[in-house]
Amino acid sequence: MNLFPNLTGTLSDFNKVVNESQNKAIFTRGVEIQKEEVKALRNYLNELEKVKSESIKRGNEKDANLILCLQFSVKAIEKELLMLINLKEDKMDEAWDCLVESQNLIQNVIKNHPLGGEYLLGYASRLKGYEKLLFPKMMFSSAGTIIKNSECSICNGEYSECDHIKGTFYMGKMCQRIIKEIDELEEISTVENPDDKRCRAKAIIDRSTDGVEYETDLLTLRTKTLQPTKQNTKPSKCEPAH
Amino acid sequence: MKYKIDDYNDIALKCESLNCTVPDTFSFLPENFSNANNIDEFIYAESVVELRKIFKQNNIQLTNLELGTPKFRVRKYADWIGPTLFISFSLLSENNHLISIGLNVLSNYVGDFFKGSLDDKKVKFDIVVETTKEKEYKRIKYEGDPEGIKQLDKIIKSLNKK
Repeated sequence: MNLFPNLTGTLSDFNKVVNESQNKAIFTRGVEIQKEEVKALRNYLNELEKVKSESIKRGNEKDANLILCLQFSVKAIEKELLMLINLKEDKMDEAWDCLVESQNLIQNVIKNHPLGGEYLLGYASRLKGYEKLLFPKMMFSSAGTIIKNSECSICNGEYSECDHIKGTFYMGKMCQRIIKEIDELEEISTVENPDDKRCRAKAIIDRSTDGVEYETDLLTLRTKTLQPTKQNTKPSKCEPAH
Repeated sequence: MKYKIDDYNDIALKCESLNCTVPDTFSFLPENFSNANNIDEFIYAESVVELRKIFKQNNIQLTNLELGTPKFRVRKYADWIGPTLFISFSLLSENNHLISIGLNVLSNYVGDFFKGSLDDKKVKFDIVVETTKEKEYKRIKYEGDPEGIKQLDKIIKSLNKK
């Protein structure tokens, strides 16, 4: 039984695009081919946006939400490709952020997919595999804040008073809580299991006996002097535990 | 799953001293309930916002201690650190099937919270149960996974000292 009769062509196109892109989201593929694929995916996202607008015009929430799942899946592959490109171009910070964004996008699809989304757990595992294999173990930071007012991105009302739930899809949009007023920043903690893995310890600053400060990047272990009086590099003393 | 049961303060007495509604159904207690000097100081775990909505969607009656919009504490952890769930004696003694429904709703919500995540799924929250008409209270401190929440049903019902 076809649960999405209006989207038969869209789903067929999506499968073709995704198969093609995943074949290019492999480390050994040429970086120029991966860059072209990112452009192709961005164009395809615009096409999906038009199809979603039609569903929204028809008031078909089920279709609109499925298309948002497709959009997030395409963005996840785009971010995966960008991670690979950044790795090849020695931009490790950016590569990490792209990986985390890709993981978050897929998690949102799994949570909201009208057919359950469990079939995407394999892809989520692949992204988790990159995290374990390509990056060192990291420490993250987590902020504790007291909030007074927040707004719902769907209805623009006070978030605590409306019926929308953050992270849930409504008519092709994901509900987000927009914090409008912070009462207090209580703490910043170092944690192993943060909500946002982009909030990480990025560098260690080390001061030598002669007062010169060195900053060691925790992804690359490259060290630079923070004061220009000394030479630019020195062997690193800090190596994150694996 | 791990849990620990201990005695808890007199909720009704504290509510009276703060001039706030004494809960007679389910309720979520603010994190600073014991120390608050007035209702305006109440700070809830941020998940209370979604849980109040989910309970409402499932037609489960909740007592809000305060009127208006309270403050919420946001923690950026991947773990689920939930609020303190209060269960009144009338629920425990007369409508204890609602406890199973409430825990089921809570467990499903927490399960959805972690859906798609391949990281550890750690859940921490407390339940305060009014165990007698004479205002005796027990606290269950829970630590485990989302599935284990449903198993608290029997433990809570065993606290009924009617």
